[in-house]
Amino acid sequence: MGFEVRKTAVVGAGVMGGEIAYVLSAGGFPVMLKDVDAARLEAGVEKARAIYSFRVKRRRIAQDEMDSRMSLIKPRLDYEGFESADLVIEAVPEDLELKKRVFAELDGICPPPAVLASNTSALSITALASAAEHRQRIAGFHFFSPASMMRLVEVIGGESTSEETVGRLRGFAAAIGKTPVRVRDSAGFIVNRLLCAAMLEALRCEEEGLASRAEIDSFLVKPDAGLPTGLFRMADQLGVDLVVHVMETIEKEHGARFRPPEILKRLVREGNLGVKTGKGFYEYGR
Amino acid sequence: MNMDDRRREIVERILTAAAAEAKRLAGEGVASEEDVDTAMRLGALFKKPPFEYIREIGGEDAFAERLKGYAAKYGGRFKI
Repeated sequence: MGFEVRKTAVVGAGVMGGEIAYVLSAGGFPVMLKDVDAARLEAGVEKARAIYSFRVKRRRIAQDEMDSRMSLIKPRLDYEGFESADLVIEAVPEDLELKKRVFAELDGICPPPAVLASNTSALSITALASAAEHRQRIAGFHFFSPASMMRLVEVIGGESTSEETVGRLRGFAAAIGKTPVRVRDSAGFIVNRLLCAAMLEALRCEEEGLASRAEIDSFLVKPDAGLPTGLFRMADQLGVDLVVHVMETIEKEHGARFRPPEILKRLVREGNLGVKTGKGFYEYGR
Repeated sequence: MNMDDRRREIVERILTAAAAEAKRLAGEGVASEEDVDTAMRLGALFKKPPFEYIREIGGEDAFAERLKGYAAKYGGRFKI
């Protein structure tokens, strides 16, 4: 059909938007990085620059390659130039009404066949496309954190998403060096749903007094379990508030086995959200 | 219970909970078994993704047998 991605755009800067801008520019794609907030926009550009700088320091790439890749990233405070984007990735905060508005805006600005994708980790693709007219070209394109390191992308088709759109996103994932998996629009997709199931079982083991959280985490990283990090520590790294939000989203669709237990809610009430606040399941030196 | 038994029990429960959910997810048609394992390997860095784990413990029948015992011992979340 002659569809080819030449120009890309990311809506929503900050750390995740910056990581995604890095991935796209490192793949050789021009990328407009847009945020309504100048400080977040700057943080996004600096995130991409920091990743390139680290790679230069480690002699993975040369300085002039970093310069040419960074020049592919065009910061924007508005949608200037978006009409020529072939692919837009939305990475604004996880708020359904906000995302619906962004997709309605993008739908008006970017004429089809441009593909519009969301990096949402929990929200329904069908729901966030509901305010747009051309829903067949809207899909999920979910990176994992940090996007610069993690090879997976979940490609999610909503109710109205065309097979053509899914196919284009799978092709694009390969073009930026990622491995796509195909997922139907279902709360938690694959990874977050299974991680939550595992985390909830770890919490039950602790609650039953089988072992302490530190012991459970130490068991999980041994070779016979094979996790990269313990699940309590992982919750702290992701942010306890985010974990609760994802569990509640999954609970709505998949039932009470995903209900976040009291301990998680208590940590959120106390403001102990994990690494980012210095304390969650564990304490972190500042 | 000694430390090793306790460790094995806890690891088994947690990996089985993830595998039971993976089985449900694939059964609902959300993703293929192969994509589930790819996703957990590359997106969560599990060295033993769910369907590989099920094969390792003896395959479908052994897993179904384990779930039956778990459902009776720990609750309905292990029933598929």
